[in-house]
Amino acid sequence: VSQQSNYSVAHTTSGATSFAVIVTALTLTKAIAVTPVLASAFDLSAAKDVSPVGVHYVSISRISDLLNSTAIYALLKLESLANSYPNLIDNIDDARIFAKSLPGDLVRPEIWTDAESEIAFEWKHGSHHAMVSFEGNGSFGYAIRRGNRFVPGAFPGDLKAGIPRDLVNYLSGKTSA
Amino acid sequence: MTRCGCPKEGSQQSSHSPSSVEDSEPLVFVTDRDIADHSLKMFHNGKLKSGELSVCRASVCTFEKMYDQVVGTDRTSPKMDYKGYMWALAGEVRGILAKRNNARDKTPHLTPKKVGAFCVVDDGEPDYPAHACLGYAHPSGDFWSLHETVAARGDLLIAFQTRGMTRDVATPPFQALPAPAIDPGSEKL
Repeated sequence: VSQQSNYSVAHTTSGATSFAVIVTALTLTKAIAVTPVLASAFDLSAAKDVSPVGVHYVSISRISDLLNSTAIYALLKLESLANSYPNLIDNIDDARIFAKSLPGDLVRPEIWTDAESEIAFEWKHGSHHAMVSFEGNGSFGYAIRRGNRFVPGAFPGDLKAGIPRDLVNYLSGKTSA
Repeated sequence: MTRCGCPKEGSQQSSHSPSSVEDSEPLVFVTDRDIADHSLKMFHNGKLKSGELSVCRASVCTFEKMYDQVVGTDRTSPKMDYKGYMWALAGEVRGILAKRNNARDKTPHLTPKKVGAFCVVDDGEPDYPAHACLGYAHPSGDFWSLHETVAARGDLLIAFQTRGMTRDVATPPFQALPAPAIDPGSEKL
């Protein structure tokens, strides 16, 4: 067990469940670098924590799922943006709440900022094009391209409600572009 | 369609502009992105809020003038990574609608259900009379939901993409260069 400058390192332990050593793999190290985010996102605080330096024990399958998930991808990206754009912390906090609701196997969005007023998740694949915008006001806006126009989202931009159903269906191909 | 959010469209705003912007005018939007990378990011939200998203009024400008102003004359140190331009008519941009937010509208009886999302305003500069700006008709965010402004920006992208992207001089949208003067002496042969 060791404590890095800005992240914790977890290791295996014995017991009925297989636990992962999350020390060496680069992707894992990156993930650990945002342990507080992961912990809040996926309730890792409920995982066993027996170390004075704050170690999280997570099952191997769980870790694998987390690291491959679109949500983790988004949270890592937002962590990077938070370091570069402290002026957009309200936007990023809203985007984090939203990111946690992304299904693990959802197509990954491009995540960008205009550096002044907006954080956005944008999906472009084939004829599909959709965007979610965070302006730091505790909600989000979104629109979906259908044919030759963009259609405003059908559900309120409620962060607590997570990703809207029409957007998930669209991005997963259940509704056409 | 109401233009209630765009009072500046009604008259010329800059003494350097040739006029206010007519619906029939082609507006050129220059981009540093290849067409495969086109994104709503190209239509900067902050600039749209402040009414400062630059376009070129191509009917009163040459391609060369636009290029010099936007990209610069120093080919070794361009102002931007020029990838090309797209264009749309001002009337098409003005024709993009957004539905007002009933919940936040304090005077719903005075406001039509759908309004033009964007204003197109002349903003001629001393060395660039063809400069114009796009902006949200109602930038405060109280007038319509964020869903509507995202959709409007998407429609703005589609409006500019409709005719494809071009890198070089083309008429339209740019004004045709005057025919070169013919040397009378050259016709004697």
